[in-house]
Amino acid sequence: MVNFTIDEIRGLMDKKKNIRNMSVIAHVDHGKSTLTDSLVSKAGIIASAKAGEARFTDTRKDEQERCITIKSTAISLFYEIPAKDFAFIQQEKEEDRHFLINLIDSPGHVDFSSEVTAALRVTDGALVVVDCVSGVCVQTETVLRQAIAERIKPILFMNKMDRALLELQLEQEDMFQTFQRIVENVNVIIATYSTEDGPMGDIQVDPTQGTVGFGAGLHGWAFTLKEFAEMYSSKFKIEVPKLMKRFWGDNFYSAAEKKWSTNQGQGYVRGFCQFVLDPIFKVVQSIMNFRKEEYLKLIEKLNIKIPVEDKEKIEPGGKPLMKAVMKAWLPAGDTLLSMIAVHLPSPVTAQKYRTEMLYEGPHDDEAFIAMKSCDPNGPLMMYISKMVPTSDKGRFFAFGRVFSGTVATGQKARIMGPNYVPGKKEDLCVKAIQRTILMMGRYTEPIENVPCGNICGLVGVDQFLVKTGTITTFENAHNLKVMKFSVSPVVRVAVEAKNPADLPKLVEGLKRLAKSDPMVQCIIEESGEHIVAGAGELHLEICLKDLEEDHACIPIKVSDPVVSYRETVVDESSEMCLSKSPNKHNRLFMKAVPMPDGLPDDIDKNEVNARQDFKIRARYLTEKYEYDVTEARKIWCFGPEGTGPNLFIDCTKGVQYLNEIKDSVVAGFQWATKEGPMAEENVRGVRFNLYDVTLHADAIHRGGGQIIPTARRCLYACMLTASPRFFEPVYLVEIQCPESAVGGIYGVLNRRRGVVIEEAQVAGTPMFVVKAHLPVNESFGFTADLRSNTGGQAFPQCVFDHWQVLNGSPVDANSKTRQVLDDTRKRKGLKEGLPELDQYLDKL
Amino acid sequence: MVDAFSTNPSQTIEKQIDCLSISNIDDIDFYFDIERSIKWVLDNGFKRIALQFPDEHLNNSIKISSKLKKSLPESTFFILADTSYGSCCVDTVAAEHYNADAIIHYGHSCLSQVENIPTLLVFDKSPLDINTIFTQVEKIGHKLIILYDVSYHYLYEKIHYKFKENSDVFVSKLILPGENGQDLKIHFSRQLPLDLKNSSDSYSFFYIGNKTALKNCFLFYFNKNRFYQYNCGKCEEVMFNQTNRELMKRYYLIEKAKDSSIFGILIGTMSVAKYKDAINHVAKILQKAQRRYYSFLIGKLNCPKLNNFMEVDTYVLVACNENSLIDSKELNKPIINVYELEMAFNCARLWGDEYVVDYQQLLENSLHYISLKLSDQEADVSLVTGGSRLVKKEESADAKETTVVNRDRAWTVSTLAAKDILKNRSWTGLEQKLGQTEVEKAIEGTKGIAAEYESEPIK
Repeated sequence: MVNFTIDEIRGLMDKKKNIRNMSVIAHVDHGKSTLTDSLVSKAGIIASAKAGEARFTDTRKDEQERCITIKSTAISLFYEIPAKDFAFIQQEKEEDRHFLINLIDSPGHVDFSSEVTAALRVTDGALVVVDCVSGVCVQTETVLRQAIAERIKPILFMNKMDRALLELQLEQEDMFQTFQRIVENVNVIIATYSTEDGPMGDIQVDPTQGTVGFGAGLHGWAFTLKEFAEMYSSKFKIEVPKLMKRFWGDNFYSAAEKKWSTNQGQGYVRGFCQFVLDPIFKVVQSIMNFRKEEYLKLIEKLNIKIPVEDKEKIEPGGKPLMKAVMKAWLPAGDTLLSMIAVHLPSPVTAQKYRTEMLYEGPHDDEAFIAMKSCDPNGPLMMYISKMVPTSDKGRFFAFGRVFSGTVATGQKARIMGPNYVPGKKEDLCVKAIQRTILMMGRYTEPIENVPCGNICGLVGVDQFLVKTGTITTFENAHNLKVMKFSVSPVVRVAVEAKNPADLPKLVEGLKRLAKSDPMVQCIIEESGEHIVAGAGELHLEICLKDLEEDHACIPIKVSDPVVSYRETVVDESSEMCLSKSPNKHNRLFMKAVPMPDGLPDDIDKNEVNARQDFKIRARYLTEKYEYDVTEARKIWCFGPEGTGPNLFIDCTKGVQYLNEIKDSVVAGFQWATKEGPMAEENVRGVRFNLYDVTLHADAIHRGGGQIIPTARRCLYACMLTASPRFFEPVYLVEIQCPESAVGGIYGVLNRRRGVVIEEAQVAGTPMFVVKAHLPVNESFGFTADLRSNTGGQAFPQCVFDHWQVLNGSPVDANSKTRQVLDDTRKRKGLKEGLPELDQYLDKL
Repeated sequence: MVDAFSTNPSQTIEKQIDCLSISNIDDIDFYFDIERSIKWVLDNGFKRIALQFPDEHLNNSIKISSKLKKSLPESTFFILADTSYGSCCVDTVAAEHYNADAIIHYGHSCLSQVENIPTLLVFDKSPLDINTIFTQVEKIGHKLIILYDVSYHYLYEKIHYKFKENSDVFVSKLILPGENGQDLKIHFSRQLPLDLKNSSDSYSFFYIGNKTALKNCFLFYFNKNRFYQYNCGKCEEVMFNQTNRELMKRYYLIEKAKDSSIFGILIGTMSVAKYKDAINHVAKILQKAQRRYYSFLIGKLNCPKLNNFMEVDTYVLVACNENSLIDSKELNKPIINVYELEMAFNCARLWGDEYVVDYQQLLENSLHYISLKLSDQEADVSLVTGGSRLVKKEESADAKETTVVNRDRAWTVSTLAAKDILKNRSWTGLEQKLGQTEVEKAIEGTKGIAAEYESEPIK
């Protein structure tokens, strides 16, 4: 640690206006971790020479072997901004120029998007890295969309310029066009998910503002237009900000006439090419072509100071020298740190507009006000976004962001899980925080306390939380909103211990695994199977490896992956369904109807939910889905779990004692929607209407015992008479490959029921992008299959997209539906075949 | 076992009961051990004798009772039917209602020890081809214990004789009520060899019969030994992973029980010895684990009865061996037995050991008793809900029941809980709606029986 110590950092933590919390986000393999390393090298934790090779933030062995980031990693950096740049900061700032930057490097592979979500929650700004050769990819869009939804301000970095220069040998103008297109693409995404007059203001990225960087993370160099504008500012006698505008877009300069123009006339060259790209091209080309005299002159002219240890590289020239020169000339660390400090918001700035969407409670209570003003003396409000394994097996650091107050070692705090409801005791625990720690990549340092605006780890609260939670000292505090992931755990495997006596170890391992990953689901099913569910094959593979090697430490058997289905209906019930209670004295009359398209998704997204005011909800349903207003006002419940995408609506008129059986019917509904009639999978997208009820006059004969099973039977009958079907999950696949491999992709997709929805060439490159919908069930082994059919040239990214009805009736013995039904029932140990309707339907 | 929860009438009517077809019993004297019964009554001088019949033998009850009456004019006989719990158990309560001083129990029996009242068990008599069994056993070839259903007990001597020469075969004898079996290794009232161990290279089991409940009791307890089932001329090995699957299903229920905060103790027997101790044992565990519990005495279990207690999360059943493994799928709430409750809360009990279905062995001073030790972990992850569950700590470990304790906050919370539950219900009491409903003239309602009112079309 050359540049900073823990004490220095602690001092900086109080200067909340000079703190920047940021994540680095991008598509997989666009160079986030490498770029992060150059920042880390600047902040002085590892030697500068190792930057670009070390992947400091990849802390796990498998991450380093696979060269892929799996877990997000946090580090704190210390930066002293040059006086000239300090002036550029427009938001509130402290007097001194010392900055504390808390940086989180996140994985780029879609399967680990949940890590990105967790990272975004605790940060205020995002450095979006785009590989300028591949351009904006599906994951770039996904993470950017999430960032904006979380009110995270983005800045852009165009990475891998070295490839554009050396491999693709792009001309200057082509390179400008490529850059401009990427900037445009990014801005289109930003515009789609935000408005200019939104709470964050204008968050479009713009090279002329300095919010776009260019460079090569691997070689350790980077620049923004500001760096070049500063070089030429005195020559042109134009102020830096003005000059930056000239260096982008349609601004052309004639060296002969010494004039600027907006038209590219004779002898006029684009500003960006003339003043930015040209010097870079010259330096690179002269060194790579070993034109020694030329590059020596350039090095001198550009006043590049090559560090002593690189002096020996001057003589031979070539790539090593090119790296050394570029790094000395345009050091990536300085450029990026300055970009971050100038353009990303401090917690003080960010919490002003983020608090209202983070806090579930009223917008005028103590906690809200303290968070909004980022008050270190207010009540403690901290969000735990993930658990980080410690060297002590089974224990975790709770990692999160302090939004208000100060968290201290030994402090007594309320630990609230995601199910905590103010005023109740559920999911709540009051405990002392054993220790607060600073997390820096592979290392952790104890620290006495941490004020708001910072990111830190806690020891001793991991026991009381599974994945996330809120830590507070304010007794009436509500929860900080639970994170919403962009991926769902749709791929599942059953695990069992090879030696059945090891079951307790397996169970303990599963519990640890559940904590260690923000997304993975570890559950026991009624059949006794232990299920691990993840976002995709890679995610599961990593989880299972962790389970076997780190968490359970026993040999395990893993079943083939299976998909979870949803049960639904495609027609209205063909008849009014009647079920009688066991004592025959009570009768329920119901029908099932499929929901209109989009409504189940609206419920998933919480646009329509159980906690809404019923009048507002009814209006929404009437306007958007043409539901009858009186009916829409009489929604008894959502299900399963009281929140799911199925509705139970009371369409009766003037029935006596109806309220009395409501709880029982709701209980039956929750049960029936959790375990559907076909294969006991969850039900989705079904609306059940209750039309009439006959009840026994004595309360004792219409109790729960009579009504609950009857309601369930009646709901099953409704579904079985309404053409029941399965929904299967479908991935959106994006495949990048050269043109020659496209044919192979089509072959593989066709065999797997895939449907191509888009095929396009990435402008300016020979690469093609194919987008397709692929049923998750067909995706197992897809990556390997694709590679072998395209000679390893195609690389897919699969992300869960939607649910799709599986065609074919379950009655038809040869249909796919029937096959799924039989397989699922067999796996769950249920009686074979579609249940008979007579079991559920009674006759008058 | 699902049948216990059946609500579908057509199923009940069409249900195939696996018993001997009634017409086959020509020789009542032999089949129902009339002579032995008479001798037993005479020897002991009983005056009031209850005859307990399972449903399938009710049609013979009159004949039997009159035969007995004829031979024993001094004694009075009662016929007991529709037993409150399982017909395998001796119904002492019903017998007491008539002041009986002895019971003769007919049909299948779980052989549970009965307190207070002398009992004679008269088993069914199923035919069996001993030679086939002999060849099957020879085929298997390793050390074997032969278990049989009570309906083959009358053949015990013959079976025993057949295998006399074969030292690898141990024919397990039933230990009937009143018999002394103190020096023997006994499980589920069957004598077992003393060197039997729970391991795959110890004895294998050879079970003759078709009672799943009994089979599971052995399978779960000796879960590492091989197990063969002989039924209707066919011999099959019960595969190990099959057993494991059944055990995992039970494990799921245990996991659910850990999540539960309100328990119901179901009293599933009033005759099996030590049932009161077992109930107290369960109550003690729940008390220590800070769970609320209520006791239920509802006779035969079925969904309509149990569903009336919506707030109960898990039921703990105290019943005889053969009724202790209940599949509660149709109820949607776990019904666990005493051993499973201990698995949930007593962290000194380890998974993978013998699975003790018989609650008597779990009580103090018996073979499998382990004193209660609550987990010292303060919180845990639930694999059912995926959420965290806080382990409630006992306030003071050494406080005795009689110690006066301050009503601290924890207490207040638990009394409030009932109020909270009521608040969550949408209906909390009668709706009077005074003045809101118009007064209407009474009209004539429906006539007939609920299953089919008179006004309804005839099917």
